[in-house]
Amino acid sequence: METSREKHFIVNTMTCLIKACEGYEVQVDLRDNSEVNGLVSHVDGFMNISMSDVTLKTKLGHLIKFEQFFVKSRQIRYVHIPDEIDMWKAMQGVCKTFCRIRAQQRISQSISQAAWSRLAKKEDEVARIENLQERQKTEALTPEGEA
Amino acid sequence: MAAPIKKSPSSYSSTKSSEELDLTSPKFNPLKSLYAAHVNIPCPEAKLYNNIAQYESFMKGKDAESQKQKRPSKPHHPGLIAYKAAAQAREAVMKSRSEDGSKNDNRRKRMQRSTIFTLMEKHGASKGPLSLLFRCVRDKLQILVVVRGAVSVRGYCKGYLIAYDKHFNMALLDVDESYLKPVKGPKINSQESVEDEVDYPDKSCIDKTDISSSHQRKIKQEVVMGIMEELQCRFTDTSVSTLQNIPRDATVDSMDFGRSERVKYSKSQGVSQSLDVANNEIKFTVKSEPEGNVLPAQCLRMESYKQLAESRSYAKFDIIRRHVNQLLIRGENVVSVSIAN
Repeated sequence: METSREKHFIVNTMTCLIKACEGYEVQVDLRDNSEVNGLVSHVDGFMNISMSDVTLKTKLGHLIKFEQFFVKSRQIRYVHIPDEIDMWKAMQGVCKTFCRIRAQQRISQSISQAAWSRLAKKEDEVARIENLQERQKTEALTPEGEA
Repeated sequence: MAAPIKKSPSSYSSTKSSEELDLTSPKFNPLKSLYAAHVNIPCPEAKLYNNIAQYESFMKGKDAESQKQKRPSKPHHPGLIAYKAAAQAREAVMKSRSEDGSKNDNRRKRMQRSTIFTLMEKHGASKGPLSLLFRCVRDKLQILVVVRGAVSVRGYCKGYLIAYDKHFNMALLDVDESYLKPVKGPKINSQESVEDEVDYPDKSCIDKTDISSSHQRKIKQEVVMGIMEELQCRFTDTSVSTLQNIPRDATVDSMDFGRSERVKYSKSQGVSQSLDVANNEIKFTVKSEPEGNVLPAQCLRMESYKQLAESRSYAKFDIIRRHVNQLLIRGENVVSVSIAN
């Protein structure tokens, strides 16, 4: 599961588009002019990509195969999005799923807030009763004094 | 110590024992009263203290309980404190902005649900640079993105902008990319190139005394000529002839690259260009464009990038073009964004 910080990044930057490509075969062009072709297994909030069944084409042209490959986000220049993916809809879908999770968090937050508010009310009542009693005591004393 | 035997209270001893067990009498025997069956306690509701010092502090009014009563009681749960503080703050805010109560709610809702789409809309409303990007998204304009390598321009991408973010990461549709690819030396065979692999010599790692100065000057001359050619192509007025104040066959020495030199050409139409030739930098400033024709210099643009790149290192470059249907460009590789056409 992603941290809340990562979720924020996913929803507010273009990481959502790459997140939507999880499970698709994608080509990533790196900064050093080499190309990585493989299945996206996971994208994190910072746009780091981990891929499987990867063919790396180095800048010199050699083809090397890997089972697992991790691309640091800074090394990415391009990501070729597969044609099957509608970019706009895919991004919206990702944002919705992550916002839904946030909604759940908000709901649980509001429940806990309600519980605390009930506690607060109880404490306020107790405090009020105490104040009343004190006032009564002082009032009781003064008529005695007068008397 | 052995336990004392219980004595049945006799008439004589009863008065004595009762006196001894009486807390108020001077003959009170505390040891006896501790072991006695029944002792009359005068005030059972009196407070119990563990020692005399406690009693003393109570009398002075400095005991723990009276201090507690003076201090306001704290709530025990940390969450409760936070909740109360938040509630107070909210009440204060609501009171101060009682008119804008609805706006507050909207703002809070929006803040909770900020996504890339809401951010794009925000840019649309603002006047900043990203508002241009939003306009391109909204109006589905074709844009030209100049892409950079480490120290030079790599090329450009031309396509339709689908989405962007604050880092200038861009999702483009129907992309035509032109870029420079460094061409290796004589052999491009995959097997042999492993041994032939040599880092392209950068000027920084080559001692200037190694290569003859004439070779360097030759390169610079070529670059200058290349740029002047481009300027010629761009500005096809008769002022081309004025550009040729420096004859093409002029030797490098006459151009005097040793120190910075400014060569100015002023056009009759009020366009002035100046060519600044310093030691390793070649920059040219075009102050205003001529009316009328400016050739769409895509190929010329790539040519100029190519020449600039080749001037910086001893590598040769090829211009490669390719088409990609859907492309995501990471923002840190973007140099500039402009509207194509």
